[in-house]
Amino acid sequence: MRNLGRCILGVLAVALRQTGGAQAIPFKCALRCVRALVDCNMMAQYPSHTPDTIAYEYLEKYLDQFHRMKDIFLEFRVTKRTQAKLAKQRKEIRRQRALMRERVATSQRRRIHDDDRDEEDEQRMDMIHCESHFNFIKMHVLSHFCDHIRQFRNIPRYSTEIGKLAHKTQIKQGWRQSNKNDAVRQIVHSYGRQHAIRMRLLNLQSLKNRAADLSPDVLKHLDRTTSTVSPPVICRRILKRRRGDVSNIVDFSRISGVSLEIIYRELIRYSRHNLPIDHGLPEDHATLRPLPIELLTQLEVPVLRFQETDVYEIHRARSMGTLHFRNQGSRNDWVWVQAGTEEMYGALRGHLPARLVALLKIRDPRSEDTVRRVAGVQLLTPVNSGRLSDLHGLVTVQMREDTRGFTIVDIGTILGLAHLIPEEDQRWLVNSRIDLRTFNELC
Amino acid sequence: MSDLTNLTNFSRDKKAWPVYITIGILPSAGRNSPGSMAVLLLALLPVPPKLFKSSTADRHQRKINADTLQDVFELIFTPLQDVAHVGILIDCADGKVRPCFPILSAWIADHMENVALHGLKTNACPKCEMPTNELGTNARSYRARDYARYQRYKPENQTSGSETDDDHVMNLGIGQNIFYGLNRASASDLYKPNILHTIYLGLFKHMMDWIEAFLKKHGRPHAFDEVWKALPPYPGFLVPKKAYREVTQ
Repeated sequence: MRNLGRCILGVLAVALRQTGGAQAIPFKCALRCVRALVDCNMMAQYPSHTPDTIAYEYLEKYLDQFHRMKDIFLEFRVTKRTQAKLAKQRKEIRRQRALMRERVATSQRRRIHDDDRDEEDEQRMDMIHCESHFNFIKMHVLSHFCDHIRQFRNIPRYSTEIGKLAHKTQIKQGWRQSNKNDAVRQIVHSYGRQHAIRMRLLNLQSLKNRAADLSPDVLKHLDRTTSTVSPPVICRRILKRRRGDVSNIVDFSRISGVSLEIIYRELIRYSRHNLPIDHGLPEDHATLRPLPIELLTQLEVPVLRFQETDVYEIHRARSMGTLHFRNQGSRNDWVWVQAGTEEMYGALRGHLPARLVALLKIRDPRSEDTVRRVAGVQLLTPVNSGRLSDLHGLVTVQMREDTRGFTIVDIGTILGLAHLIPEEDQRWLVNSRIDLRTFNELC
Repeated sequence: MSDLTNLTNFSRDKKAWPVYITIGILPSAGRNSPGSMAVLLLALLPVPPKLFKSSTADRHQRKINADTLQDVFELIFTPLQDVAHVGILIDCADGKVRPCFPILSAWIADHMENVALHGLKTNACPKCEMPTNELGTNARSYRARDYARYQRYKPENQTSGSETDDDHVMNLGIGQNIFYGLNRASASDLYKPNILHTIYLGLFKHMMDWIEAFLKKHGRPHAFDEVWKALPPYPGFLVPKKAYREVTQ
């Protein structure tokens, strides 16, 4: 269900596209309703709220929106009792009609039949709208979320998940280890012992970290029991997994299917824009051609976790070309590329989604063997200059129409993975509800 | 926090009703990681036998259940009562000893637990006096529950019928609340919102039912499934391999 909240809006938006005529209005209402609920969920998950963001006001706003729009789903909250009533009503109507309609010409019968059916449907909908309701407790409890944030700040810390987790280690294990005879006492004791030992180990570990002198036995035991120390956080981008079959530009062109001319052109453009003049790449094709090149398939990008300053998540972007990834088709991931300033591309704020085509290390023997680490990407452009759609609140992007299908950028401009939902050929929706960071930036 | 759980399926129907304890100053990321030992089992409550729809014997049993629960919680809360007033010296993590006044500040539980512990009806909000037939509206005008007033109210005093205030409380059908008489804790603030049950397992689940019916009505379930299966990967996001309808929820 957590996954569902992150993608449902985009999926629904794609599924309900291309509407015309009578369907347009219900689709619009449904999308707005789902959007409001998903946004509520995102807001409730914020780990911290500042007076600047005043997230609870947003939460209140989204909640109001949801309540205004929810009636579109009212007809699907029909209870069994209502259904029985409906059946009874229909029977009654049909019986009355049969009494009335005795002497009608055959030619008119069809028209009358259609009219009757319309009337029946109408009455049915009326009945449903009178009888059904949204009066269940979870609907109401949500309205206390805003007050709660105002009074006690963030919500996730009060989640019941931690309790469910504790069931497993503290209760169920204890139950299994007990002899089922007066089990309560045994459950309470069994975890007490484990807890005491674990706390002792944690204390010793923290003493060791502070370089207190401990006996060699203790140190040896600590080394054995505690898991390996997590590696220090590296805040730079790393290229991994070299492919052995590429050594120069010609090989790369053959494997990637991009013509040599384009690669030369883009390399020169990259060199002119990004590199200092005296350390640039050579500009004639003959010198570019034999430059040693490595083709890699994985880029690790550290991305700051939302509302944190020193905790990073590693996004692993892969560009497998035509190779298989874990035996299940190839992966050429979508990434965010810093392509302009804040004001560009509307809601995307200067970032563009792009497909990762290739990751290259180019060694330049002329200037002290410097290594240029670049990525070949396929940039997309926002439709409607990057404005959020008022229907579903997502940005649509499409393939560029001009010839620049292949661009070379520095890997420093790659900001992390993007989540795009395929809409139709060469068009995608940017799923901004995939995580809190994207949600905060794009909405 | 408390939560009823099943120990065995199919054999003997064993249940446990644990009460856990934790401290409020921990950052949520630390508390929610299982290796940090932040949550401690405090007590296992007696699980009442299952009741059927009301009969006289059951009403008696119900009363016994409520009384037992009340007594057990009194036992649990006794150590807290004095300490909240007098204070206690506690060893802190930085090696210093500080006088602390521990109080009960939150009760993390799902809705059914809260209802049972606060002695409310099943579809009553623990926070305000919203009537059942308006739960679905966005009205916020109902007054907050005043548990101190409920506590003063005694059904035995209901003889004259002159006090309208007591009538009002009686109509709400309040039972015994285990949090009565707890020092420096207000029962209405103990109730905390709960994302897991309200949103993920609550509204999202309902919403999916509605969406499925909606798609069916407008003839788009296949379009939905196709997009659902074609979602690209993302860190921390499990890519669905089956359509939503094919997965047993």
